[in-house]
Amino acid sequence: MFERHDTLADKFVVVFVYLAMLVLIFIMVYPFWDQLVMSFSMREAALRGGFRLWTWPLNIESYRMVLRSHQLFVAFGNSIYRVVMGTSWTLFITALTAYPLSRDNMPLKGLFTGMILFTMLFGGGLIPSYLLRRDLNLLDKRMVLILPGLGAWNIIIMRNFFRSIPHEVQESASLDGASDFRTFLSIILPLSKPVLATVALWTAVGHWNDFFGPLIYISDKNKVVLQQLLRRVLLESEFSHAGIQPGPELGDVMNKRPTDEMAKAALLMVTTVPIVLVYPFVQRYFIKGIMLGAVKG
Amino acid sequence: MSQGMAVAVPKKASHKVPLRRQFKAARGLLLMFIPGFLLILLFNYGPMYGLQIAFKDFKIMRGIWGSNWVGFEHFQRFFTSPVVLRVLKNTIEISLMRLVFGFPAPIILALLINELRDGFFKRFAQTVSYLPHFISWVIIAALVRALLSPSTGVVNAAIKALGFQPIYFLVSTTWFRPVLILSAIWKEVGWGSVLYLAALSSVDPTLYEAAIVDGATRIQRMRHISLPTIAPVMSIVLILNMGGILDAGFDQIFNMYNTNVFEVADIIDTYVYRAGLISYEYSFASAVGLFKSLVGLIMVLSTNAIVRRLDRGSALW
Repeated sequence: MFERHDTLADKFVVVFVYLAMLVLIFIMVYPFWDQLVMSFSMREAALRGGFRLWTWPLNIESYRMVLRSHQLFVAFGNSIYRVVMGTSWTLFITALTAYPLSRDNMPLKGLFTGMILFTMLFGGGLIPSYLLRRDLNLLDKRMVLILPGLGAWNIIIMRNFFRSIPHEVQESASLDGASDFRTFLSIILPLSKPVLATVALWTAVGHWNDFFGPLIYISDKNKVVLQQLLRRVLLESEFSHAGIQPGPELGDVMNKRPTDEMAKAALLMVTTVPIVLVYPFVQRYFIKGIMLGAVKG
Repeated sequence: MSQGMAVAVPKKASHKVPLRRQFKAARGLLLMFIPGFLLILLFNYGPMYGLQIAFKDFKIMRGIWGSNWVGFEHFQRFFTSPVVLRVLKNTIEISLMRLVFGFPAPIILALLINELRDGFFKRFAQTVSYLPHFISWVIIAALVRALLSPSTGVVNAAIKALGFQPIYFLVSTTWFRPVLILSAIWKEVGWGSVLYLAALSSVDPTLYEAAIVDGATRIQRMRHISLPTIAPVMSIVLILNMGGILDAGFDQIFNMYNTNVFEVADIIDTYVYRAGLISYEYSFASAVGLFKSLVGLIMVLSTNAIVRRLDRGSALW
């Protein structure tokens, strides 16, 4: 904790910092822990307020209720579909568009780059974007959330990365007679794993968490994504539409019967725990991505 | 070296080589670029073209071409509407509050984390701090709701234990904004600190060592080495924030607000959403949106220009 050269004043600072960190960790973790405990609580325990540090006996009725929902799995599936298709498409089209911008002999490079950068500063806005998709007949189709996945930010990040690949590598390929596309596929892409991984992760998270796009563009029950279902249940308390109902076997044991809050907590846990488990392993790619993007220009 | 070589060393595209020949030589590249470019023209520039309905009386049956021009009528309506004052005021006030409280927070966190000894605790603290950034506002709004519940929430349990009446935070015009700002900070402070920590990790360690030899305390080292190092990052973040001054956090507010708090929470984006997609006033909502986009653009350009004047290296361009 302390360094050899720390003065007394320094030691106070260090102690303060470590205490502050403990408080921070508690503040970050407690909300989730609170809901975790709530989701396993008996009805009486759940109705009480106060710090939830543990509960006994454990009650799995809330989870039973939530996992019974057919709509939940449909929504889960739709979200996964969107993440997989959306991320693949975005990776592909972004790399394809960014590569030419990284090459010296690309004509009108300045103009094209400028036009792309401009989209970061100004846009049509919500209504024109909505009307456009309506006119393209994209409303209520899965494509509407996948196709427009080409953003200036990712293009620039990929372009910068491609630029950093030594010229000799690309030159030797073209001297061997390879076309630009071949060079791109066989040489550049394999070397670009870091940037591809980073953009893929960012895009995947964006797709997974997006609730607004689906909210305004999707109404078909079968195409509902997870965030839409979460919104309806957690924020609008629409349980029956989402297929979350108490089961017949509950019958007489009143104390096991989930309250609204208990059901919400279970749903929250079911949808958040996967993320929390996967996240520590992938988070360093996000950090790397910031480093890549942090190089100005 | 003859001109006849089919594959020459790629020429740098410049004014000296005629455009036609450039295009021919870079055929492959252009072919790769076109699809994505068309996509951008369609989904980014397309809506910009559609923005003209802000100056028209757009009737969905008639389409853009069939609708009549009405000039600045929508803008006039916007600026004289009683709701507008509230919406504009909320947007700017909430944005400013976010800036005042949300801008320093990641910086302070980064400086604190920087004082930790490398190891498990430090990595654990960092990882935990950026987790909320990856969780959607739908989920976080639900978490906030659960924690602040008047009946079963922790916060109100403490309040009741102290002898007070439970507070209905999320429907109270007094409490909604503080809850908004605090939860936004909770969600973003960790991730926000990453950029600063990255900058701090690039500092030459000998600078710190020299300072220690000179007898500088930790606080002094923070003030004279760490802070100046992250100053350029701070100005970039500030510029980007200024550009988004009219944004005020739609995703968050949309998931947390309700009619009881419209007075203090309704912002431009939520207003545009309701006017456009709920009330079908497409032209009017587009006009409001256009106003917002223009102001955002002006803000980024002017903030960048100001920063440029002060310290060229810190500006975005």
